[in-house]
Amino acid sequence: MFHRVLAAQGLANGSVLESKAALVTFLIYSVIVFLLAILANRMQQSRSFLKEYFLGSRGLGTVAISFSFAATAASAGTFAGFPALIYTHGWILALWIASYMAFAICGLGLLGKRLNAVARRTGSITVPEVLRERFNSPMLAVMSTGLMATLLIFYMVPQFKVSAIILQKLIGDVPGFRYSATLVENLTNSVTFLSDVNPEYLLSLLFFSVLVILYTAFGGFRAVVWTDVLQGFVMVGGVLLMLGLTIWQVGGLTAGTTKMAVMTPPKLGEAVIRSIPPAPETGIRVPSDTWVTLESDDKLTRLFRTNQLAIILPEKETSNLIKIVEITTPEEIERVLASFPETAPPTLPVGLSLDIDDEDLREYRYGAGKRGVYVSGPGPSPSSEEGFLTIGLAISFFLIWAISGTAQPANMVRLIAAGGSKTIRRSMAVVAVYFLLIYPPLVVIFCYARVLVPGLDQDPDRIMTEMTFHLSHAAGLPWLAGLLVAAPFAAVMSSVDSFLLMISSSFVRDIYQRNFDPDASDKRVKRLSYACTLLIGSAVMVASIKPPQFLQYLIVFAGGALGVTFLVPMTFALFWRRANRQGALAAMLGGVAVYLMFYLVGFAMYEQAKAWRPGGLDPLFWGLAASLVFGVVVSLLTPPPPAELVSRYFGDAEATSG
Amino acid sequence: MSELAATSSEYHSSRREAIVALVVWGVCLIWCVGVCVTLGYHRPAEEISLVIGIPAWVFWGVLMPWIAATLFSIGFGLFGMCDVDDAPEPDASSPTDRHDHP
Repeated sequence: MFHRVLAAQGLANGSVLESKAALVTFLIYSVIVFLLAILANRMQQSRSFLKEYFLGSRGLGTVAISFSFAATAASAGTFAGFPALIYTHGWILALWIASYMAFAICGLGLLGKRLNAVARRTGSITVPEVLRERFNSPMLAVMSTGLMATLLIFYMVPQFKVSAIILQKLIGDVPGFRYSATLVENLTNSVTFLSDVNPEYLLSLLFFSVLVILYTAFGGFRAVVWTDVLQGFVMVGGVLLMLGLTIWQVGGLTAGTTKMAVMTPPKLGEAVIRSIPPAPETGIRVPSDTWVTLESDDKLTRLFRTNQLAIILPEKETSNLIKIVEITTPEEIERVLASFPETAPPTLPVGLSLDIDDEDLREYRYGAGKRGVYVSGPGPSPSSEEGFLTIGLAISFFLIWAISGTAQPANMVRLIAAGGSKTIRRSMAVVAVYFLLIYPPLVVIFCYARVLVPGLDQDPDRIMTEMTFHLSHAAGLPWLAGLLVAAPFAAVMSSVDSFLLMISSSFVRDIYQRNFDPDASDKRVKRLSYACTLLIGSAVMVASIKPPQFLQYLIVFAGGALGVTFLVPMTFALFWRRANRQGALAAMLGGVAVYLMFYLVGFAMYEQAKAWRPGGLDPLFWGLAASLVFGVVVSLLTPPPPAELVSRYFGDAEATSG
Repeated sequence: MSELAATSSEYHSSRREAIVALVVWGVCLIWCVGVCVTLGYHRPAEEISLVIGIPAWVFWGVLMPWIAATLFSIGFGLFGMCDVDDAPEPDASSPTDRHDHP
């Protein structure tokens, strides 16, 4: 059955004024970042290059370490993926993210003090180097460097992509940017690889890449940490500002939650825009986010929102197939329709209609037609009949964030770089407060985003930017959009710069210097470090021009794999005197192999990007369990480490006991 | 204190603090999952009560333990953990300066 359009309206997002304000904010921000890099570079002149460039001379204080630790943990996922999940599944995300309440005490208390002391005692600069020294195994260093570099590159590609999208949204309406994009389009039209890439995206990607690669390469770890501190303040300030505006906009906490409680999940589908008569020579574009109302057979108003740009080519009658969302809650339909002024009812241009086949509209597999699913567990799900967060998954995520997060290389590098045990324990207090100010407010903000910016369920990754423009527009403060969107941008930059530096430090230190040229001069190491950072950053930028499919899948996989790679070997290195190099290698490779197997089995079983989760538990749980078993069994079956080595790491008291 | 004795002391205090961190994590896990599942799973809209405007299971099962964990982390970080003497560091610029292990 086909329907005809009764009314529609495209809602413009982000005026030119807001874009200009955002551009100014971005430029100021970039200048500050470069100034910090220049300052950090000057400090390199008078110190040992390697230790200063990759560790900030191991003398960073509480503010630097805690903000850097927290800002690096918050990445593109915090401000793009996480808000999208809250928007889609509701309040249950409070439980999904809850283990961040223990992140500070685990992240800094489990390994922190000991790792810092051991790295200091052995003069280690990188995470692989700590393992190499403790187990006296060059093979372990090469293996962990290879795994770390590969997985971090998977991680960085989506971060670059998200940044380019944010920047494009921020400054896309500025005339100068559009003019530059036209120039880029003219230049790339003749290049086969680039001809089908959106020139605005390409230009934004180039801006972001040049900024982040240059300041990282030039300023080194100290610049990265200083910008992390700046970015940390921007993030927490942005989030708290958004929280206040959101609660004000939604009419208070109770009003917002009550509105969510009556919501039922939308229907998702595809449709085309039809033009009668056929489109003129210029073609027709119907913007994404256009509201469309239809009259149902029983004379009730049905409300849809497009989630994709529709283009009708010249002389054609129908557009490309676009994603649409049907709002199913009567109270919500009423509220959206009431937001249009009576004198300007939503209308599509004359001659345009929306063709929808009801059979193509999909209901949520869990929660369809149920009120209360957005304010209760396990949360609505379009793809799983068991709901979003089963109890097994809730337990898994407790393990993933707090425990596996402890062993993320970016966090461990900061523990190595800390100025001592005093810095680490004080940072624990600051990081704990920081996460309390970031994550619970984000859950509140994006739960209420469902009320304030409805109908983005087929493209929820945009909700962060849409919400910032909505809030600043509603508050009548266009400059606020630039400030608010700087928060996710800062989150991405603070992660990417750390990853870039970690990869180059591992290559320069653990591969080149330790294996090929132990007596390399400071000048040579310096040149190599700059070149490595530039090269890796450029390679990731090129990969981000056309990112591969299943990107989100790769991010989740890479994050878990990093935890599985390092958690058990590093815990053994620091706390188990009987652990030896064979056990550490077995823990690393065995854990990663089991973890990978669960993903491959899932891919084969479900024929889509979905991991196999026996017992409802995430592959990370099984990977860590396997890593532990392999590590213990192989260590016990092979000769114990030399007493001299054990004594060096564990002192004299029980050096020879198991 | 000799270098080996200092190492042993640093190892033992770090191990004790790691155990405390693990226990805190375990308590948070049991508290959060236990309360949220009991009060908030598979409930119709009319059974979800609100505390300060947010669902009661989020308030008691996430917000309260989060505040408690934050306060504990502050107290443990500032008063519960002990400092260790920062060991002298070997020259990092040339890894061959160090003695390789047997």
